[in-house]
Amino acid sequence: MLEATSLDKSFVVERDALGRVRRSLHAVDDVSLRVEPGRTLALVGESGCGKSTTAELILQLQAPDAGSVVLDGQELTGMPSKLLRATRRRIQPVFQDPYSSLDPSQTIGSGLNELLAIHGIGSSRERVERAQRVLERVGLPSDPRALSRYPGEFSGGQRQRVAIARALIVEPDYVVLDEAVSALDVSTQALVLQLLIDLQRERELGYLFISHDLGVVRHLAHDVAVMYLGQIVEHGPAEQIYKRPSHPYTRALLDAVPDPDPDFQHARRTRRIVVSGDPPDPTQRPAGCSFRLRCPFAHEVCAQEDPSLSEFDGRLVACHFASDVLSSDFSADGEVVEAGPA
Amino acid sequence: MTASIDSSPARAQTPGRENGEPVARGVSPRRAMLRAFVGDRLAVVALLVLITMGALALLAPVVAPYDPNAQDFSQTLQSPSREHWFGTDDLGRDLLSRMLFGARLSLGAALIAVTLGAALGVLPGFLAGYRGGTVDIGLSRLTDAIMCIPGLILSISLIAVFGPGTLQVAIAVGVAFAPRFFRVARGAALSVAAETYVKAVRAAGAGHTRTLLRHVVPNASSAVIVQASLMFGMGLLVEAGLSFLGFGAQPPAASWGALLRRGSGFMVEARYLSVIPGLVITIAVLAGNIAGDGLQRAVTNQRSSGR
Amino acid sequence: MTAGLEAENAVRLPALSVRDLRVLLPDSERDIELVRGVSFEVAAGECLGLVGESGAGKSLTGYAAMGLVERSGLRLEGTVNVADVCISDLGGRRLSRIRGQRISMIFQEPSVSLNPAFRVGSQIAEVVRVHRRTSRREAWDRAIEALRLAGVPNPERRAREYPHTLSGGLKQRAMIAMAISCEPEVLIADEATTALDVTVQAQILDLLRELQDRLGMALVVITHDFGVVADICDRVAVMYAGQIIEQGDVRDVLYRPQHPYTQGLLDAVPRAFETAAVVGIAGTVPPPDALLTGCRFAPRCPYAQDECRVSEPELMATGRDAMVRCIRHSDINLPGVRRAV
Repeated sequence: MLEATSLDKSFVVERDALGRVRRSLHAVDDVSLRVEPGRTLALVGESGCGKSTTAELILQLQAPDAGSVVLDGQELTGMPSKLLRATRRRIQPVFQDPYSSLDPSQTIGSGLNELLAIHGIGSSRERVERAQRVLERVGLPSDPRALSRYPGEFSGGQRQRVAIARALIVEPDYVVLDEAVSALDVSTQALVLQLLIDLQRERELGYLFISHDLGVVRHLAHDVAVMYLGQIVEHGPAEQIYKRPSHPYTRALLDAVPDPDPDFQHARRTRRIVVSGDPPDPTQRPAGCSFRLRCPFAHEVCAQEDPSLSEFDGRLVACHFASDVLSSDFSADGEVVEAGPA
Repeated sequence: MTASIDSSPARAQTPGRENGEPVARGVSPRRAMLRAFVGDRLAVVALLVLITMGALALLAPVVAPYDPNAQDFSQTLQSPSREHWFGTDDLGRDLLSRMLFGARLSLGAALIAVTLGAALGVLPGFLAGYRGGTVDIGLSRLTDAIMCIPGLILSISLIAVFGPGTLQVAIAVGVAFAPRFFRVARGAALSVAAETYVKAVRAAGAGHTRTLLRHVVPNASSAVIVQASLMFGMGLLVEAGLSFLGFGAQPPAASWGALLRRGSGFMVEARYLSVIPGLVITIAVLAGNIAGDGLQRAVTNQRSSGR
Repeated sequence: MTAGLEAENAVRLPALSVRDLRVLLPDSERDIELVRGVSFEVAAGECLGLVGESGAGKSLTGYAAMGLVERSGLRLEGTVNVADVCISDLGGRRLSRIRGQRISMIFQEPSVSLNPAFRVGSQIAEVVRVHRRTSRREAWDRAIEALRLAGVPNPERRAREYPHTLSGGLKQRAMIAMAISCEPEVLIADEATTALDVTVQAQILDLLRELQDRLGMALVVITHDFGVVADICDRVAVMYAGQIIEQGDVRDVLYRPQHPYTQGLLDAVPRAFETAAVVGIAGTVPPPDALLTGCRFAPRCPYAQDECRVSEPELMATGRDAMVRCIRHSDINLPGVRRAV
């Protein structure tokens, strides 16, 4: 099990002349997550919500200010670097941009070989065989000529397959996918998505799937955590969250996703809750609940008290009015309409 | 706006099929860069000029028509003629021969200066750019301190300590060049270090040494190569300047700058004595810069087409 | 606003009409066709979606309709009419007078579309002054009015700010304000919501709809997202490899597609309210210089037969304003988009 507990990370944005911190960004604020073998936890949110920083903390690419990452009982934060390097084999990343996530000056074969060399796996002949096997598995040509190609010769979808092959070749237990299919065209995206699902079933992989795309998440995730300004605001089984969103932000996100079924889309467009404005500057988080300035449900208590993540209707929600959100409907102009007894 | 228009057809042409064979074949980025450079006619001509000059310098003992230091007082200050293509100086020495031998000093000094500058600056630059943090701050401050001293004064004071001479000049110029190489290398490494693939190999378990040597250096080095070729021209110029001031090659040996200095004493009676060295220096510097610019273009083209 | 006479005209003429548009990349041997004969019309107050994947030529079609391709070394063929004016025959200054005034465009990246060195308001005012003989004062007022129309809160203050101080959503609103400042008859939105967060995207789509109603514009929405198409478009043209392969009323095309590619795309979209497995389309769009005989989708098409590879199918009319480029469209029965539950 891959478990992150109470992760915290701030960045200094601006210092004054004496070097004192003037403005800082609380990118990750008390985030706890758990990824289980064979299951997918999706971390969703809009740009700047801290989801990619969370991924980097879990991948040990940055050190958290507080909190811990534990892999099967082994504490990773603060682990001596020699030991950490060996443990890294078990958690592999796949990043978004298929154009910058592969070294342009390295052939596909030598890139795959390098990963095995780092972890001292196999003789050089076995490494070539393994590289060919993994390329074949992700649906790429695997002949020796393919190994000697450079990333520049592959299309975006192919490059993302190479990136997946790189993650898989060291046989990890967990894969952190940071917007891994976001840059692909839909027809290709669907193929890569299917590949990810198949690989998970085959190898009992645990996925941490980071994405802004609620459609993609719906097709991959068993559990969903919604992030807003560095905090998790709702966390639970995917089915629950999609069908009965209980945080106003989750509700707003889902309402904003346009669906290709025209009648359905027209009907829900008139009922959606529309949050005003952009996501706020993360360096200036309001006191109390950080969503309250855009929230149609906000009351005075929301300004005074930051709601904590607590159990509600089979998931965790950080909202004082979760039950109102769950039971409410909306008029055409986004006003809250009370629907029955709360 | 124009950029996005330009990019759409380029992207549309990107070959490759999802599950089939890519259309293009095994071209490394470096080879693609070389190919782009070879297609740049002006840059190739400039490079050929430099190579020819270098070859003539190496072969000077064979191709020079006269002993460069042989004085012939019956032939002083002769204008260019069939016997003496570049004429003779006030001591009757053949200017062509002196230019050919001078090329060894001038080109050699520029080469040493660039090599030394790169040797001193590049690795710390890569390290600073890749590691960032205190390593970067420390090395950058050191470089800033060196750069505060004007290059000319730095060179002159080094020569004051070690005495005049071509090698001393070359070393002094090399030291003065090191911060520039540091900066270019640092900048290149900084941008490579921000690439996702560096993050990816780190997360996969690669150590800093491997990441730096296998991923940062290969991808950042093209910027350094471009810088080196541009610095070569500048090295020639600085060497010529220092020699012109009398700090360089000591008589009877003479680099191009020293020849120019000597020629400048005869501006009225033998203008060719200064015009020819001046012209040759100009051509060499120009060739260095044009070749460097061509290399720069090749690097950028290769990079944009790789995307 | 000044809808009067022009609007009446527009009832008879489509606001934008594109006929057999081709964009060619001159090449030493033969010209490479990036856009291969695209035709469509958009009436005032109507929204047409141009949808497709990268390499489909949809953005290039938009640029070409604006007359914006020739500077980049591409050649344009075919005709583009804005109401009664044929803008594809116009050159230089006369074209620029129409562009921005009668037809304008917004882009995917609002951050690079605004000049960082000038105040937001003065950039919009400048566009107004290029097209209308107004005083500085009037142009500035108009700029503020346009910002207000585009839903920018506190437009007087925002107009005095520089682009970098605005968030992504506000920048896109400022771009829209600039585009509508002269009340154009046609607005082309090229992936205008793609770079935005989903909550902001919903706001911008609402804004475009509202502006369209208010100004009676013809709207062309270029997108890769069928959700956006279903949300805002009245009609849709699906593009593939530089051609329109299917065109018609949005509900007809999405519920009863006639082209296998349209169906393929619909099956590939991962949706938030529907959990049936997504199905991809193997293969990629053929590069524009590929020498293909027959249907350009045939190599990827599950319904392709030998006859599909013989000659390139024409765009065939299959109903009132319904067209498809597939010779097998009457043999195959496609289920269309799955109904959400």
